[in-house]
This record gives sequence, structure tokens and C-alpha cells, in this order.
Amino acid sequence: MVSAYFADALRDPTSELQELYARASTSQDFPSEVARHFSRVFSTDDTFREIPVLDVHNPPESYSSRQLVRFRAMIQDTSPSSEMYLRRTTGGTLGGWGIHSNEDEEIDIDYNELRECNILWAVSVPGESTWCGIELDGSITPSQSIHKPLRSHKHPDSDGRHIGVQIKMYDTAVAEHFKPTEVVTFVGILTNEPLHSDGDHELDVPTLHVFFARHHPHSAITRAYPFVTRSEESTAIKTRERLIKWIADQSLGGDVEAAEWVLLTIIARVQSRHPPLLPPTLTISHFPPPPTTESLSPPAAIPSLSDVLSALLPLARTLPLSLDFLNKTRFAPESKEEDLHSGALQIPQGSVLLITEHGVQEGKLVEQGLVNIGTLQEVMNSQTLAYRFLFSQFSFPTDITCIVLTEGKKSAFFKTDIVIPLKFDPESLSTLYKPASDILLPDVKELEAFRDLVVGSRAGKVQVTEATSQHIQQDFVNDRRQNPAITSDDLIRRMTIAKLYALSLHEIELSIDTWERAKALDERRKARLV
Amino acid sequence: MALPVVNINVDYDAERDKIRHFLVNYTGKGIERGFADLGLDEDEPPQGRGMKYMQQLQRIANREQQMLTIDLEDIAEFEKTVADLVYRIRNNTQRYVGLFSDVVDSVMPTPTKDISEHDEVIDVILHQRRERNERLEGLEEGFPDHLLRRYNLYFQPLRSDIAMAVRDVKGVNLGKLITVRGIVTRVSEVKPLLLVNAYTCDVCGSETFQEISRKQFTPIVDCQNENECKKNGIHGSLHMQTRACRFSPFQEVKIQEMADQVPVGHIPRSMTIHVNGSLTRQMNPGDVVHLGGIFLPVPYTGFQAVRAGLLTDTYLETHHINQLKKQYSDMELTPEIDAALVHLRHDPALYQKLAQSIAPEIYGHMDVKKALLLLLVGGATKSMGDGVKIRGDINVCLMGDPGVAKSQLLKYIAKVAPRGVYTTGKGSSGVGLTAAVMRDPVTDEMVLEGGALVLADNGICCIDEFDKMEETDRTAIHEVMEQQTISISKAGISTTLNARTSILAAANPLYGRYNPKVSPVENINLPAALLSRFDLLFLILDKPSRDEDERLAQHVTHVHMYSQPPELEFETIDPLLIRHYIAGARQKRPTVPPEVSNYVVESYVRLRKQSKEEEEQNKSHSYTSARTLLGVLRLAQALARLRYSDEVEHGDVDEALRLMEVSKESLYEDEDREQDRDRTNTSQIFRLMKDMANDRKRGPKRKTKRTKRIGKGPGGERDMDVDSDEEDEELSMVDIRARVLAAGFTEAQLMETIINYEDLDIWMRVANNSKLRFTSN
Repeated sequence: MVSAYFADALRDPTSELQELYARASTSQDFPSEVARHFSRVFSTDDTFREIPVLDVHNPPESYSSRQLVRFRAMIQDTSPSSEMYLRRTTGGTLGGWGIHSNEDEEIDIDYNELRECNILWAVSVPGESTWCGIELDGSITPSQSIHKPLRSHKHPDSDGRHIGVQIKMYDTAVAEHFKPTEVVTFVGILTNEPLHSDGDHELDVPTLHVFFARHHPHSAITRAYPFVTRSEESTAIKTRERLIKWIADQSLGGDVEAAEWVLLTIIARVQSRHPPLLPPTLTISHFPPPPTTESLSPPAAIPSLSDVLSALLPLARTLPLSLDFLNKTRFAPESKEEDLHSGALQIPQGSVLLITEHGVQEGKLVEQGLVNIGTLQEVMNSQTLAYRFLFSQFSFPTDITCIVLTEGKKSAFFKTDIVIPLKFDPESLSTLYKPASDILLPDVKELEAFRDLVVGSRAGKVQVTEATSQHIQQDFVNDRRQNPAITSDDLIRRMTIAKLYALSLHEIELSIDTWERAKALDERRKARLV
Repeated sequence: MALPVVNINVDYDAERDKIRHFLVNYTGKGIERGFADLGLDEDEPPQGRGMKYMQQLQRIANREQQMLTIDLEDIAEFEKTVADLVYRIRNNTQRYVGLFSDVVDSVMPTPTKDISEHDEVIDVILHQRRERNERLEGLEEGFPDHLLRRYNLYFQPLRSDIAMAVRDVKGVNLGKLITVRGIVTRVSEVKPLLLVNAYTCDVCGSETFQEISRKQFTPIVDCQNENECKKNGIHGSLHMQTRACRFSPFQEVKIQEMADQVPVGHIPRSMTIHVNGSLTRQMNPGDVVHLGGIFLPVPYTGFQAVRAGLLTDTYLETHHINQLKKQYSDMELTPEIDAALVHLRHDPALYQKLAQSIAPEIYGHMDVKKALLLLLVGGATKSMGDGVKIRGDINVCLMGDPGVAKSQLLKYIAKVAPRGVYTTGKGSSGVGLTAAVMRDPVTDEMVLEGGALVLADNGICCIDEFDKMEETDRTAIHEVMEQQTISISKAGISTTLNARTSILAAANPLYGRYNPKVSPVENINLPAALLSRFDLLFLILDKPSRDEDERLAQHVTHVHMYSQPPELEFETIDPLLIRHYIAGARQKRPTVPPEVSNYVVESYVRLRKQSKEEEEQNKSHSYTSARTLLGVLRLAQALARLRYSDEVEHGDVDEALRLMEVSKESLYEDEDREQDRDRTNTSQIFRLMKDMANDRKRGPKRKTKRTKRIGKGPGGERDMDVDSDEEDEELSMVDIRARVLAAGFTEAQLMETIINYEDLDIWMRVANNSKLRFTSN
């Protein structure tokens, strides 16, 4: 029965919808009926994967009108006011979901049949790694034509390849809960419709009339925690060691210590906001600028670390700072003329942001640049991003882990929790900036294990037992007696690091042993700073 | 436009009668109200006096008034119910605008004034047409009423109507009269909206009028004159007469939700507002408004409708605008808060509780918090007859090692104070702390722009990184801290701005951390002239101490274990309540009675002497000057205010002196502290109770001689205040408890004191433990 629906729904979703209406027209809440019905039809992974994917490789133009598609997207803007639609036509057939009435003449509208639908603007998920896309959507067939996105100011990376779609949610109870930067997979009918706005310009935009939506609160990709050990070689500890070695060799000139810090940072996320248990921020200092002998101009060179992170993480983005970039790009979203323009930091929760400073040359930082630096520092310090509106600002929670690469002793612009100077072999300078194709990826199984470790750690939770807690307290009191320069900040940092250390080992509880090792790691780092 | 007809069974003729009855007979709530509503002129016809709506109709008929606002409160009052007509109006407003207009047309009195050249062209034409018709013995049946309407009819919502957030306005509200709150973000230009289009005929010369009710219309081309052109079949002879058309001013406004209406993590929504007629030009971007109006759908037209199916957009047709005053957000006293305040006022441990509730997440620093509480309350500013003002605001400086939560304290104060401004000494903008003369980019005129200090006028200015301040700003601060003004003399502008603000400063010691090897003066690194202007200066050092460290470590590990802060050991008072309590306290102006002032003088003399001695020993880190005396008075006044009392008491002065001393002591090294007077809790409580006994006995005339207070009891922890009298004395335990708790001690400490001293036979409990008797030795 369900399989029959399934084929119908794929072939002609509109008639399927109308048939459902014929069966359930008495339903008081038809939109939620639609959501129930279709999510049942596509409940299994196999059936869900059958739905064609809307993404940069399969842009809206490549679909015929009113086809059923799924679109994994980041919600960018929920501010458009809702729209009223006629629930049923005078003929008693279904209204909404972009269904046209054929009668041309002006009909009297029965205002009792008006219902509202919520309108959102959603864009393809910024910073989503290729492997993540393949895992969720299947293999990618690059399209020949390059999609030219409309309203690109609504995407954090306005110059990058992306698509933006107007979403119409008829199930308003669900839509009310959607917040900006959340990642949601929408399933519905794709059409091309005028933009719902108050501007006088009329613009046709791709529009998705949603049947149902799948919400991904943390990440679209899930991995087990703790780690499932498959063999002797693949225990968490050993995998962790090999992973650190790989990161060090491929992107940090063989500096294992720095690689360990990178690993600890990228598995961090916001644990709690009140009280704030936020991910630590990391600066890798003394990171050399790209060699100038190459044909590439320096600012364009992207460190290999960027590609390494993309290979490991579902969501990773690189922000190559330069004066021009700082002065001209908008970091925080801003509402202009009742339209929320996106900013470079409007990215989903759980993103890792790599910030490179080597592109910054001498020059003048204008006001926008100063504001941008303040905005990014605010994200680092408190994980909130203030969206700017006329006469007011609204703070939105973010969960962005930041890694700063700088040439100097410390970052020129940002204050981070942890600074680790890079120690590398001058011979291997070119390996820091090799093109993505030159990165030696481990074999498929190994890479899978790496991802399992990293993604699993991000979702994991580690407990601090009473015994460990006692030990830590005692430890701190003793340390402070010996060295009064140690402050509570040191304790807070070490505590955070120790918990991350335990997460990276996929431990359930923070052991005294791990605490000591994390402390030693922090001590070694401090020794390097001198 | 058709709207959802909610009650099918409504008899509209009966409704009309009801409305007529209301309009004709409603008298308003007394004459005064009528005066207020109309801005009444003297030449009002006497017979209409008191008839709220009939009077207005007369003015409308005389073309003196355009706006007719029907207050739903009036109808509710007239009908003594909101369930009947008011209910139906609120649910089907557009329809009732029509019904009311019909009735108004029918009861409209005849104009008592003749037409003049000041009136609109259409009125002149209609007037002349009417006269001509009369001459022609009523050949025509006259004009339809709606063409003659020259007023805008609005409904004013009930005052009990709750203002909704934009996101709560849903489909069910369509057609209803609702109230929405928001901030105006965009205001369009005022455009003429065509209501009645007028044509004249080339052939017969008669006028044709067309009523326009929507955005688009088709002009009429054929003359509608039944008698001539229509009969003769003449076509295309009409010409539009712009001068005779009736327009209404029209404005489109956007409002956006306010921060408090938006759930956390959501984007504020906005709403389109249509404003017509006399209500236009009343809103500006940035205004916070309550808008009463009808929520209406507007169908898409043309191309859009074809492409998008049957969809409509929505807007709010404004009927009433209520601009909120700027201080609205500051204080809104609800009955619940009022009750809580009364309850709070009777709490004997109020001082302690309020102080604890300041930045409760920061552990300890009780005395600093008490000082901050007094800073929030402030003393009373006095103006002398000769124009000299004595500052009542209390200034506090917090100095200390990095990471001792100075900034958190500052931010908390800035948040809880009604006009708190938080800034850093390295002021970010060019305006900085004081004020600057700027050239307005738009008008190119010189304007004076106030900095943080001016913005915090009548509030508290919290300055972080005080030591890193620009030299120019620091000089300006001297003036602010004593004279409470800022003088500007720049670019031809010479003026003095008020900056009646308390200053709460936070500074790091020289070279960042406190260096015990150099003297406190060097560590503090602020000029004496500035230091003396602070009533209190606290040095908060981060010294390793086993207990504190353990507690801190416990806190940090607890947070990491459970992802939530540990439960506080004490109850805290909500910041909102604190704010209200302080606002109330600030209205008191406590005076210093003579005997208390004598006590203050004595204490001051003692302090001066002490300071001189210290100076001789080269140990002085602070200065005792006349400013100190004023400081003590200010603090004592603030303490009296906190009790909602009109008089400063001994206890207040004691506490003020204690705070001063504590603040000074914080500057000393540990080793100095041992010489300090005995100040365990027990002895302090004892002293307090002894004072009470003395007060009781000697009455208000008594002069204290408390110079010999320093003395140690056998246990080394008690202060044997032996200078006082020997007679038997009985004190009620209720009074004692109230007094001791008010001074910031706990019940347990009180009991400990009582038992300790009872063991020493200083006093005994009598009358079933309800009284305490001092035993004479």
C-alpha cells in the first residue's frame, strides 16, 4: 500500500496530494495530515533517498515544474510575514501548495477559508563538506551548467556556489519553531513563484511547497559514541594517534603537538550556555605565510589544514582574512529594507571556522572592518552573533569553533583561549600550502575511522566523577600554593581541555589519568610559548 | 470589501438604531472630558454641550473637524457591557465603520457656518449643486451619502485590549479590531489616495462622481446624466477634474517586533500598516507604538495572482495610534511587584539580602557588594541657596588583579541601574566619555554629541579600564565627579552639560598585577586629586588562600560536572524587584538629626587624627579630607534611604564608617591587618545591642562618648564597651532581631552572641526569652 503511494508521490506529487485531500478533506488540520502521510511514505532511508535532491549540482532549473524534491538547507531568514491562502476553492478542491485555480474571472473569496502559511528563505548549507553530501545524497553528478543564484546576498558566502529557495510551510505549528541557521531537510513540490515581499520589483524565485521537514538539531551526520572498536588496530587510542599523525603530516609540517591541539579544538562544541561552557578557541602562531615563489598570489593560497578539516568534518569553512575582505564583507547579518542580508558568520551550529591572517597587508581598516573584527571576537568569546536590525540588535546563539592561523606571536586581531606556536621543519614549508589534490588521504577504511572518531567525539558526553573532581580541586589548591600566578582562568581552561581530551579518547568518564595527561599537554604548550 | 460575517443573525437595522441612540444620547464622563477631547472653543452652541459625539458632528458639519473617533470605552460605558455592541464591533470592525458612517450621515446636523474660500473645491461644488438643486425644486434625488462624507471615522480600542506581538497575529484575527505593539522601522511618504473621482461632462456640464474603494479602478467615460447625455446617447464626453476629486492622505508604515516579544533565537517579524486620513504623519521611524486597527487581507492582483494562485497579503488598517513614552520601558509598577516591595520592606535582613543579590554568581566580596548597593541608592543631592550643589551620588573605584570579576560587577550594575552606561576607559568612539562637537553629515551643522557620562546623567556610569583612560577624559572626570557637569568649549560652542552621575570605576594596578614589593600608592597609580573623589576604593586581590581556592575549584568542577551552576546558598532578589526597590528608596530625602551629626563630627575628627598619625609614620595610603566627611554622610544617607527612613540613624553612620574602614583596610598588607580592632561578628553584634540599650536609656538628647571603644575582652574576641552605664536594661528580642538582621548579620550569629555573653553574665534572657536584660556588675 505504502509502496504504491511512494511511486505515485514521486511521479505526480500534486495529484497524490489532491487524492489525499479527497480522502481527508474533513480533517481540521490538513497540513499536519499531509506531513504525517508523506513522512510515513518516505519513512525508510531507502525510500527517502529516492527523492531527487535539490543542490548546487542539481539546481532548480534542472527540474520540471511541480516535481517532488528534497532540499537540505540552512534556514537563513524567517522574517517574511506569513501569507494567506485559500484552503479550498469554491469548487471544493484543494487550495494551497501552489495549486492554481483555472477560473480566470475574479471570484469572491470566502474569508473563512483563509489559512496562513509561513514563508522562510533557506539556502544550501554553507561549509558542508563533499563527503557529507555524498553520504546523505548519494554520488554526485556534476551538472554542466553553472547555477546563477538569485538574491545571493542571502547566503553567507555570496560569491560561492549555492542555491537559495523560498520555502512555504503550510504546517505552521512546525514552522514556528524554525530558527535561523538551523539545518533542515525539506521535502515538497518545487515551483517557480514570485517572491513574497513588499518591494515593488517582482522577482520569480524557486519556491518549495513543503510536505514535511526533517530537522537536524546538531548535525545531519551522526556517529556512535563511544567508538565501536572493530579490531586491535582500530581502538580509539590508536586511531587517535594515527589521526593526529596524519593531520600533522598533511597540514602542519609534522608538528604532532599542534595537531593534537587542532584535534581537541575541532571536537569541541557548546556544552551549556548558562553557565557558559563554550568551545575553546585556538591560535596557531608562527604559522608561515605561503611561499611567494609559487604562481599563486599569497592571499589566494589556502593552507592545507583547510582541506584536512573538510575531509574530517561535516561542516568546515575557511575565512581568509585580508584588508579588503574585512572592509567589504559583512560578518553579521543585517536587515536592510526589511530584508535580512546574510553575513559571513551566519553559519550552522557545529561549524568549524578556520581563520587565516596571512593575507592581511598594511593598510587601513575602515569602520566595517572594525565592526567585523568585533563581531568575530564576540562569537569567539560568548558564542553569540548580533544580527543588526534598524533601531535594534538581536543576539543569536552560535556554535562555531574558531582556529586562527597567524604568522606572528599571537593573532593580530583576536584573543583566543589557547595559543600554540607551530614548530615545523623548514623543508616542509611547501607542504603547508599544497593543493587539495596533493593531500595524501588514507585508505577508505582508515578515513572512515577518522571521521567516526571526530564526528562521534563531537556528539559525545563525558562525565566528571566525584573522585576526579576531588583530585582536580586538590590539584588546583596545591598548584596555587606553589605558584600564585595560577588563576581560576587556568583551572577553567584545563578543565575544558581535559574534558575534550577524554572526548577525543571516547571515554565515558574523565579519569585522573586523562586529567594528568591533559595537564601535561597544556604544560608543554606553555613551555613552548616562552 | 466583504468580510467574514461572524454572527449571521445580527439585525443590522436594529444595530443602526442602537448606534443612533448612542451617538445622540451619549454625554461623556462629565464636561471636563468633553473639553479635553475637543479642545473646546468658546463659541460652542450651548444646547450641544456635554453631548460628546453630537458636538463633534456639528464641528464636522462646519468643516472644522475631520476625525471622528468612537471610543469603545464610551460604548461599553453607555451600554454597560462589552459583550453586546462592543463585541460585535471588535469582531467585524469594517462592517461597523460602514454602519456608524451611515448613522452619522443620517444624524449629521446642518452646518451652522456658510461655505467660504477656505474650503475644498469639492465642497464648494457640492454646496453649489445643492443650492441649484433646491432651486430646481429637487429634480434630482441628491448625492449618495458616501460622497458627502468628509470625516474619517475611527474606533479607539478598549484600554484593556492587550497589545499583541506581530507573530501572534494570525488568520483568526482577520477582520477584527486588534492592538499591536512594535517599533516603527519604515514610514513611506504621504501619498494622496483617491477616494472620489470627479468628472465633468463636455456636453451637458454636469458632474459625475465615482467612488473608489480599491487600488485599481476603471475611469468612467460616458456621462451619467440621465436627463441629457444618457438620453441622447452621447459617449466619451467626460473629463476628469483633478481639482474636484477627493483625496485622502495615505501612508504605508512598517512596524517590527520589539526585543521582548521575540522568542530567543528567532528573527523579529514585521507588519505592514496602512494609515489613512488624519492619522498620517503621526509616526516616525524609531517610535514605539501601540496600534489599534483592523487586520485585513488584500488579494494579490494582476500578474502575481495568476502566478501564485489564490493568495492574499495582509495589513493592518490603523484606527488608533498610541505613542509610548520613552521611559515606558524603565518602570512599570504592577500590583504583584508592589506587593513584593511591601513584603521586602518588612524583611529585617533586607540590607544583607539586597547586597547578596548583586551579581549573585560572583562569590564573596560582601562588602564590595554592599558598597555597590549604596552606590545604586545614592545619597541626596543638596542645592544650597547660593547655587552651590553638594553631590549626593556615590563614586566607587574597584581596583584589583585581572580575573577577580571586576568587569562582571560593573556590567551587572550597568544592567540593573535605570540609566546605567557601561564603557571602557579606552573609549571606542571619538565621542568617548565626555562630549564632542561633531559636524552633522546631513545638515552640515555643528552638533554637540554627549559621551557616556552625559548619557548616564541621573544614572550610573561604569567605566572599566579606568587606568588606561585618555588623559583628556581623565581631566574631564575631575569635574564630573565633584561638580557633576561637563564643560565644553570647542568649535565656537561653549556650554556646560549636566552629568549628574555616579561613577563606578574599575582599574588594574600598575603593570597589570598587584605588586606587593612596591607601596600601595605606587600600585594604585592614580593621582590623589582623583582618588579623593571616590567615596570608596576597594582593592580586590587574588591571593592564594586554601579555603577560597578550594571553593573556587569546587565551583569550576561542579559546573563541568553538571553543566549548571551550583545552587546558591542564599535566596536572591530578582533584579527587576531590586530596581523597583531602589527607585522607591531614591525618592526619600533623609536628614541628619543633630545628635547623629555630632557623632559624625567626632568620628571625622578621630579619622583625621588617625590619618595624621599614619602620615607621620609614613604609612598612609589614602587621604582623609573634608571629602571623606561628605562621603560618610552620603553613605549614611543611602543606608537610611534603603530603610525607607526619613532620618539618618547612628547605625547608618556606623555602617558607613565601617565600609570606609574596610575599603581602606583592603589597601593594607596582611601583616597590618592584625593590629586592627576586634571585629568578629559576635563583638559587632554585641556593640550594636549595647548601643540600642544606651539609646533607649538616654533618649534622643544623649551625646555619645565613644572614643574609648577599643578594648578587648578576656577571650580576645569581644569588645568590652565598658564606658557605658551600669543600670539594668531590658530590650525586646523582637527589636534586637530586627536591628541586628538589618545590620547584615544572620540569625545564627545573633544567637551565638547572646549565648556567649550570657555565659559571661553580661546579660540574661528574661520573660520567656522574649526580652534581654543587661546585668549590672
